[in-house]
Amino acid sequence: MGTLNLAEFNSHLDQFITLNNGSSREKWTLHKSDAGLYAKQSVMVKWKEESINRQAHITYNSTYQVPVLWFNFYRRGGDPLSSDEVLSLSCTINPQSTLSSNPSRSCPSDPSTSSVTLNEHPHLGVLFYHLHPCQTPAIMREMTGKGNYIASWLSFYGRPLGLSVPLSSFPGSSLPSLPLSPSTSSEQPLDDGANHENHMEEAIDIEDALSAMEDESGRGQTSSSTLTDSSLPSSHSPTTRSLDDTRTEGFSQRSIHEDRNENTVQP
Amino acid sequence: MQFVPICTFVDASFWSEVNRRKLNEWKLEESSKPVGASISIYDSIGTDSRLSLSNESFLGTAAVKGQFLLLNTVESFTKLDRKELMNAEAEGIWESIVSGRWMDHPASLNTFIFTLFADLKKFRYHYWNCMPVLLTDLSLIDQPVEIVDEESRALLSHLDQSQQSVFVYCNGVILPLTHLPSLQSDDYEIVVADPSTTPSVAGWLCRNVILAVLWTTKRNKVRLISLRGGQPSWRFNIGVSSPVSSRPSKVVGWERNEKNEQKPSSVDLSKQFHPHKLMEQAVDLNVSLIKWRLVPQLETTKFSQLKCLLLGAGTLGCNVARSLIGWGVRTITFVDNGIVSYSNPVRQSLSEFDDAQNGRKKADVAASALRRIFPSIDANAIDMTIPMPGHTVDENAVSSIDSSVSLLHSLIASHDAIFLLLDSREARWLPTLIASTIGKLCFSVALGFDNYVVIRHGVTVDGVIEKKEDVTSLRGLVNASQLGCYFCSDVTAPGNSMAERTLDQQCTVARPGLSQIASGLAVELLASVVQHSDPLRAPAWNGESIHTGEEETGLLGAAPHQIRGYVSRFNSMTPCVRRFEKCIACGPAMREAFRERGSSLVISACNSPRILEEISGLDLLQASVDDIQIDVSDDDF
Repeated sequence: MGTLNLAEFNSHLDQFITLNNGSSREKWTLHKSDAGLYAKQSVMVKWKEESINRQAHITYNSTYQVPVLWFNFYRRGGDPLSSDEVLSLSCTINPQSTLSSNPSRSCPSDPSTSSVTLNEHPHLGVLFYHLHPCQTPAIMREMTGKGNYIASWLSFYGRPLGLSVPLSSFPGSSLPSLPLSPSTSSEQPLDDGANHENHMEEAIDIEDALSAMEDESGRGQTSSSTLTDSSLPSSHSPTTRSLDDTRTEGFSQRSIHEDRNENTVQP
Repeated sequence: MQFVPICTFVDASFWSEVNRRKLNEWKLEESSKPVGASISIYDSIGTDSRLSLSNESFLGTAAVKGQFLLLNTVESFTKLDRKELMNAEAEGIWESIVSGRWMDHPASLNTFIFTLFADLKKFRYHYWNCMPVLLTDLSLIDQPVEIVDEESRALLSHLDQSQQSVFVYCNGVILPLTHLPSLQSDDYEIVVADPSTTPSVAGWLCRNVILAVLWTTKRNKVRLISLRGGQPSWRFNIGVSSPVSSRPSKVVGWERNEKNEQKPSSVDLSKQFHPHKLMEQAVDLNVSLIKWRLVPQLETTKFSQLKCLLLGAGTLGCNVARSLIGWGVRTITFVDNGIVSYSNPVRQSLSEFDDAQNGRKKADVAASALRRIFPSIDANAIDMTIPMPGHTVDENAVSSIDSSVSLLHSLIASHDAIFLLLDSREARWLPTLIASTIGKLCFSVALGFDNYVVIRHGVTVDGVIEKKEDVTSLRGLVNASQLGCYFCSDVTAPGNSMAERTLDQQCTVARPGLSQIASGLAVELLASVVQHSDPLRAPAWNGESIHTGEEETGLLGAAPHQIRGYVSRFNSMTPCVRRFEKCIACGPAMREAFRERGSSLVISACNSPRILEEISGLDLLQASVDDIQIDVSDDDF
C-alpha cells in the first residue's frame, strides 16, 4: 500500500492515535481545521541543557496521497530554534557534520531526512519543517506488513525526530520491514536525558524488531543503538567515500525532485 | 511546603492567531476575552508545570480556562494593576470553593490571566501570565511516597476516560468529587492530574485544590495524589496549621520569566511573522536546500557575503542580477549612464513601460526593482559614464574623468566580483585594467546576434603571476593568473567602435533568449569559481574537457575560462586562452603605467588609443607581424 485516499488517511490516523495513546506516553491528539484532520503531539525534550517543546504534526497531502510529518522546536515564548539548530538535532539532517575538510563524512541520502524543508503549515499557516512526501509512496510501497499505515510510515519517518512508535501500534504483530537500509536513522537525535529511561523499553523493542526484519531481508546494516546527540554514523568507510560518490547521490536525488516544484520553499 | 510553579509555553500558532484576531476582529478592543490552555501530565523533561497556549486557545475547548487581556500600548500593559486583577480572579476561585461549585467544575480552581502587549509591526510580544493561588500555611506530615506503577496506571486510565482532572480515590475505588462532603472515614485521597515534572514535589495546580478540600471537609489535613503520566506519581500527606475558616488573604501567582524574575516575558517573532524576514529565510533556505540535499560542502555564506558590481544595467545587467539573487547574493551595485528607452522593458527584466515613459535611469530602475523583488537586498545604483579609449576628452571634461576613474576604482576595490555587461568593447577597457590591477574576480559577457561569450578574466593575486604550468600533455590545469582577459586575444587597442560596429554593439539585435542564456552561464561560472577552495586562484582546464569528469576542479564542477555559445547550432564550447603578455588591458606594462599615471593615463587613452599599443608593446609586435597579414576581426570569436 503506497498511498492512501483521504478517508483511509482519516481512519488510519484515528486508529493509530488510539493504538498509540493506549501505551505510549507521547500522546497524539486529533485536530480539525478547515483544511481537514491532522494529528498533533507536543512534548518536552532536552536540548543542550535546555527544555524545549517539540511539536510534531501529521497532515494529509492530497497530491501525493500520503501523510506528511511536520515538526518544529520552540523555546518557552514560542521562539523557534534556528534552522541550523534544528538540523544539528540529527546527523542525518545535519550537513554541518559533513565539513569540507572531511568529505568522507557525508551523510547518506536517507530519504526520510534528505527532504527536510521549511514551509507553511497547511492548517496553522505558521512556518514548520516538513519531510517532503515525494518519496513516501515509493517507500511505503516497499514496506511489507499490513496493519496501520500511519504506524508503519511513522516508524520510518519519525525516527530522525526521535518519535517513538510503540509496538502496540502494529495490530496483529504485522511489523513493517524497511525497504532501505537506514544505516543511520536509528540514531537518536536528541539527548533527551530522562526520556531515555522512560522510553527505553519501547525504543529497544522497536529497534530490535526493525533490525531483526532488516537482517532477515539481508539488506540490513548494523544500526547503532547508542543514543547520542552528535556522534556520527560510520556508515561509509572514509577511504572509499569520495566527493564523487556524494555528487552522484546528489544528482540522482535531484532527478527525483525535479519533476515537482514543491520541494522549494515559497511561503 | 514547596510547589512546582507554572511555566507558560506559547506556541507560534497562538501568536499567529493573536495577530489574525487583533487585526480582523478585536482591533482596538481591550476588554477581557476568554482563553484556554492545556496541560500535559505526560511530560518527563524539565522542572516546571507546563501550561500550553496554542491556536486552539480561543476555541473555548481547552481544559484550563483563563482570561485574555490584550493591551493597546506598552504603557497600559506596564501600568496594569496586576494585584487587583489577581485578587479579583482569586475572589472568583474562593466563591467557587465556598459555593461547592468546584466539585462539579474543578477547573474553576485553576484559572489564569494572560496579559499581553503585542507590537504587530515588529512582531514583538510582551506577556505575563498569572495563575492565582490563595495561600495557606501547608506542611508535609510525611515524606512523599512514590506510587507503584499499576496503581498509577489504573488512575491514569480513569483520567483518560472521565476527563476529570480531580477525583476521589478511596480504598481502591474511584469516586467523583461531589462525594467528598459525605465521606465518613479519612481513608480517601484526592487525585489531581498534575503536570509537575519534579519528583516528590507537587505542582501548582494542586494548591487551590488542597485549599478547597480543606475548606469543604473542615479538617486540618488532606492526602493527595499527584498523578503523572510521564514519570511516577506521588502521594502526599499534607497538614495545615489551623483549619481553614475564612478566605486566605494572601494571593500569589504572577509567573517568573525565563530569567527567573517576577517580570513580563518578551519574545521576538519577527523571523516567524515579518514578511521581509520570512522571505530572507526562504531565500536562504532555497540555497541551503542545495547544500543539504546535493552539495553538503557548499558554503552559502560565500554568496550571502559576496559584493557584486554590475557594470551595465541593460539586458545583461538585469538578468545577471536576477540570477545572483537566486544564489543568495545580497549586495549588488549597478553602474549605468543610460535611461530606460521604450525598446528596453521587453528585454530588460527589471524595467517596465512606466520607466521608459518617465525616462528613468537604468541603474536606478534596476536597483529599485531588485528591492521590490526582495526587500532585504542591498541594491545600489551609480549613474556614471565609464571613460573609454577613443572617446575624446576636452579640457573641460578632464576633472570629470578624474572623478570617474577614482569612483570606478573605489567601486571595484569595494566589491568582490565585477561583471562587465557593457555594450561596447572600449567601455570594458578601464574596468578590466582596474580589476586586473587590484586583483578582483572579473567576468565579461558579450552578445552577438546568435552567439555569446562569457569570460572570466585572469586574476593576479598580490602581483604574482605564477609560472606557466608544467605542460606535459595538451590538457591540464591553467592557473588563474595565467588566464587571459577580454582583451587578451585582441591585437589592436580599443577605439571608438561606433563606426566599426563590434559584436557588442549589435547586442540590441541579439536573439532575445541569448541574454538569459549568457547571463545565467556567467552567474553559474561565478558560482563555480566562488565555491572553489581558493576562488581567486581557481584554475581552468586547458582546452575542451568532456571526458571522465576530470574538468571538475571545484565543488560545483568545472570553472572554464570561457564559454562560447552558438545558438544557431545550439552548441557551446569552453576554450581556454592564456594571458597575453602585451595585452592593452591586463598586461604588466599597462598595469604598471596605470599605477604610476592613474587617470592621466586614462585621459591620454581617451584622446589617443594608440598610446595603449605603445605602452603595452603591442605596436612592436604588430610591426613584426605585419608581413604575415593576420586578419583580425572583432566578430571572429
